[in-house]
Amino acid sequence: MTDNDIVNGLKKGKTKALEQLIDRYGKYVSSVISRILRGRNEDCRELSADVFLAVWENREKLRAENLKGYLGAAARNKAFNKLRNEWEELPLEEDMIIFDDGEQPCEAVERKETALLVNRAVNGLEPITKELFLRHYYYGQSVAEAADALGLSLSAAKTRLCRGRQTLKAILLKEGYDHGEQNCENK
Amino acid sequence: MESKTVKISELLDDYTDNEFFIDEESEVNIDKIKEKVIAKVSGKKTKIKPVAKIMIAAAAAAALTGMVSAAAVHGTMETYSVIAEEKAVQHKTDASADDLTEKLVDEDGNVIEVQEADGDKTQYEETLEIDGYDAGIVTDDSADVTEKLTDEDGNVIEAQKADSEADSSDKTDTFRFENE
Repeated sequence: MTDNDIVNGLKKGKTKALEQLIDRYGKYVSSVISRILRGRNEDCRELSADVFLAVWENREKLRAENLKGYLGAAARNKAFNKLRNEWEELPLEEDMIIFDDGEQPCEAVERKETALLVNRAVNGLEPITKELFLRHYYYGQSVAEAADALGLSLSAAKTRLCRGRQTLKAILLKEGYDHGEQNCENK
Repeated sequence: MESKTVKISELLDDYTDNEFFIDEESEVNIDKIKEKVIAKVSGKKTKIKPVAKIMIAAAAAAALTGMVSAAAVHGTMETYSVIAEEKAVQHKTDASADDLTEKLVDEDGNVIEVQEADGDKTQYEETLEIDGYDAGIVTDDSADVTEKLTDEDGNVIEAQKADSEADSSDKTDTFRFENE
């Protein structure tokens, strides 16, 4: 059964399709959540179930393309929201890319699908920087935690993260990432 | 110079990790997640949406109101009916009472009224002065309504008055006029 079959089944309200979705992506969703929550199996099980329930609730809008990405994003949001409730602020280092006025990626090149573009941009990073980048920004690990996991010093990790942000921005600009309606106002 | 910012953590919502931490480390039992999700979804399938609930409640309320109104109208109508019936009975009773009123008119056209309004069995005696006669009126419950008028010698000069009224058939009025 393909993702397309599962999505079609879900849209028809078939719980069997939901079971198949969980069989296929349950491990992935719980892994993402577990990584962000640093274990905590009980919360992880709870949030994983919430992700699939949310998928069921929104099955009408579901698309077969990038189903895994959709589930990953949903899992991340659930887990980050849980952390935000506990910590107020995620411990993310300079969690932003700034596009200046002169930098109009949507004007520069033809628009492309965001997911595809972001994936390509992240995969364009140097491998160790990419892992560091993902540990920190995707899974919410602190810089120290991620640095420790990769055997890097804290300062080396910060330097790599900074370099990673610049590279990502450059790739996004080059690829024509549309970073919101506001950016296209001057079209 | 205007600048725009994009959050990297939000930007990565569009990223799919196919490389790191996949299918590893999680000790979460997928079957338990599945069980929980399916149980909730199965429960939800039969659940009625809030809007539908409100509509059903409104319909029920409307039906109840309608029933109450109908009952009230029915009750009112019944009350009217009872009142009307009572009035009809009262009217009939009044009419009957009127029917039961017997009037005795003397020779000059004066009314000597003898009334038995509600059908009660009454016996009374009164004395009337009619042209030298002392009229002793006796009412009893005997079968026939008889009027006897006797002259000076005691002879009966007027025989009887049989009441043809059906509803007064149970009454017997005997009028005895005795010579003074």
